[in-house]
Amino acid sequence: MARVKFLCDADRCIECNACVTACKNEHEVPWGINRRRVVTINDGKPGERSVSMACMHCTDAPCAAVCPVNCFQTTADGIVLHSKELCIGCGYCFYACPFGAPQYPKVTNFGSRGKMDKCTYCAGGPDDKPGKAEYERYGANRLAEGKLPICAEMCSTKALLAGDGEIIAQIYKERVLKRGYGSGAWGWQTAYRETVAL
Amino acid sequence: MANQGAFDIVTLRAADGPAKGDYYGLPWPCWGTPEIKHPGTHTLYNTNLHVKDGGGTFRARFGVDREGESLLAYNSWSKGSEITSGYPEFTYGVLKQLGWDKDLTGKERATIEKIGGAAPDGVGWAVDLSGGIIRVCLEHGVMAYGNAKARAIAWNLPDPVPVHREPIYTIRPDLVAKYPTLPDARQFRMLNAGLTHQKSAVDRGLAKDFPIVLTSGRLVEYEGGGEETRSNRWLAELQQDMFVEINPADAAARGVQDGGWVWVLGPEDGSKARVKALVTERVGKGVAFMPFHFAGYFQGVDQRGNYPKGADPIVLGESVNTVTTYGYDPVTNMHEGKVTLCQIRAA
Ligand code: SF4
Ligand code: SF4
Repeated sequence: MARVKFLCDADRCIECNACVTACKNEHEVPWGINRRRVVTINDGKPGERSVSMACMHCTDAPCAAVCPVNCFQTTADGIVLHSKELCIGCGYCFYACPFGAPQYPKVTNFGSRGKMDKCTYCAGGPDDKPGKAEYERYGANRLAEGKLPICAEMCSTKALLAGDGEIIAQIYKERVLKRGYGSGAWGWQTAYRETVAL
Repeated sequence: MANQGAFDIVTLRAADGPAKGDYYGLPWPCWGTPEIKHPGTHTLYNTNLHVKDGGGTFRARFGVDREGESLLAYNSWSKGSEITSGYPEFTYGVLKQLGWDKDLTGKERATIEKIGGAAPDGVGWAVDLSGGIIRVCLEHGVMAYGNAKARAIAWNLPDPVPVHREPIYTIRPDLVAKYPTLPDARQFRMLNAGLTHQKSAVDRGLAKDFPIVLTSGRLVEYEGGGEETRSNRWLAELQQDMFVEINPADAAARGVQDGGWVWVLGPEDGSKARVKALVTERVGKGVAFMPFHFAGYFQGVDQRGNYPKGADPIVLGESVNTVTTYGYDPVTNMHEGKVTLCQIRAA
C-alpha cells in the first residue's frame, strides 16, 4: 500500500483559498472551524510566500502519542484518523500538533471543547461505514470512492499535491529541476522525518 | 465534477464519457445549437485548430477596409478553412454569394427570411435565431464572425491611441495643464463635465487635504458588488471585513494600527467610510487600496435592517463608492472607480 502525503509547493501557491473553500464545501465544515487554511508570510513584501496547511498525517503522529483515550489510528495508507466516539475534547492534541491542525467546536473557560475535528484526508472516520452517519460526523469519504482529497483536486495552481508520497515527491522534484528553484517541501521534515532530496 | 477524471490535463478535452470531445467547462464561445455539440473554445483565435474543434480567427468587427487598406486577415485562416484569405462577417447575403445558402435547411431559411422581411440578405449570424448561418459556416471550416486583423488605432474612440491624461482628482495638479482630461461633452443623454470637475479640484487645492491616491479593485473571494458571494458562507468566512490597505509609512504618520478601525474621507460632499486598516507594503507610500465587493454599511451605520427579510448577505461592509468621486468614461459612461484622492484617520 502507498503511503499518502500532502505537499504544498510554496513557490506556486497564490493564496486563492480554493483548497479551503473546496474542503469546507465538501465536508460542510462549520463557520470558525478550519480543516485547511492558507498561511501567508511576508504579506505584501518581496519574498511573500503562502502555504496551504492542514493535518499532514504525520509519521508517528504526536497527537496520537498524547491522546489520553487513544482516539487516533493510522490507516494502512498512513492516514491519521481520529474517533469522535472516543474523543473527550481535552485539547491535548492541539498542544502536541506542530501544525495547529486540531480544531474544536466549543470555546469554554472550563470543561470540554467538544469533539476535536481535523482533516481526514477525505477518508471519513474510523468508526463508521461510508454513509450518512459517517458524513455527519467526519465529512465525505472520497477515498472510499477511489478519489483523492478535494483540496488538492481543486487547487487552482496545482501547488497542493495529494497522493502516494513517492509520486508527489517525484512531481515536485521534476518541477524544481525544470524551473531551477524550490523552497522545499514545507513541513515534511516535521511530519514525515524526511525531506524531498533535490 | 462527476466527469472530471475524463478530461486530459494537457489538451483539456474529455477522451470519453458523456462529455466526450468537450473542453473542460465548455469555455466561451461554444458555437451553435446544442445539437452541433461544439466543444467550446479553449484558446481564442487559435488558427491551428478547425473551427469545429475550438479553432478560430480574429473577428471582423470594424468594417472590411479603411482609407484604402483592407482590414481583413492577410495570409491567415483557421485549419481546414474553405476560404484561404480574410473574409467579412457572414450574412445571408454572403452565404448566397458563395452558393452556400443551399446548405441551409428549409426551416433555417424560412427563419432567416422571416427575420429579414424585405431585406433578408442583411440578416447576420448574430441575429439569425435559427443558428443556420453559424452551422453552415462551421461545415465550411470558417468563422461566422469573419476573419480580420486586430487594430492598434481605434479610430472611433476619442483617443484613437491612448494618451496620458491626469485623473480628475489628481495628486499632481501641476500636470493638469499639460495632460487635462477630455473637454466637457454630452454623452448619451447626460452631460459629462469631467474637465470642469478637474479644474475645480485643482483651483481648490484639494490634493492638500486629500493627499492619498485611492484605488479600488477585487478580492479573489468575492465577485462584483459582492451581494451573492458575501451570502456564500464559505466565501464570507474568508473575508469578514471591509478594509483599506495602506502603506506602513502612511499608517505610522496617522497613528493607524494594522487591523484597527479608520475613517476614509473622500473629497466630495464630506463622504466617509469606516473600515479596518490593512497595513502592508503592497501599496506604495501615498497610495491606498479598497476592495469594491462590500455594501451594507453607510458612513459608519449598519444597514442590515433595511434589507428585505432573508436577503441580507452574511458579511456587510462599507461600499468603496461612498468615497469615490466624479468621472465617467467618454465611450461607455462607466464611472471612475479606479483613481481618486482620500484622507485616512484613525477612528
Ligand atoms: S498534523 Fe497534527 S493532527 Fe495531523 S497527524 Fe500530525 S500531529 Fe496529528
Ligand atoms: S488552492 Fe492551491 S494555490 Fe490556492 S490557496 Fe490552496 S494551495 Fe494555494
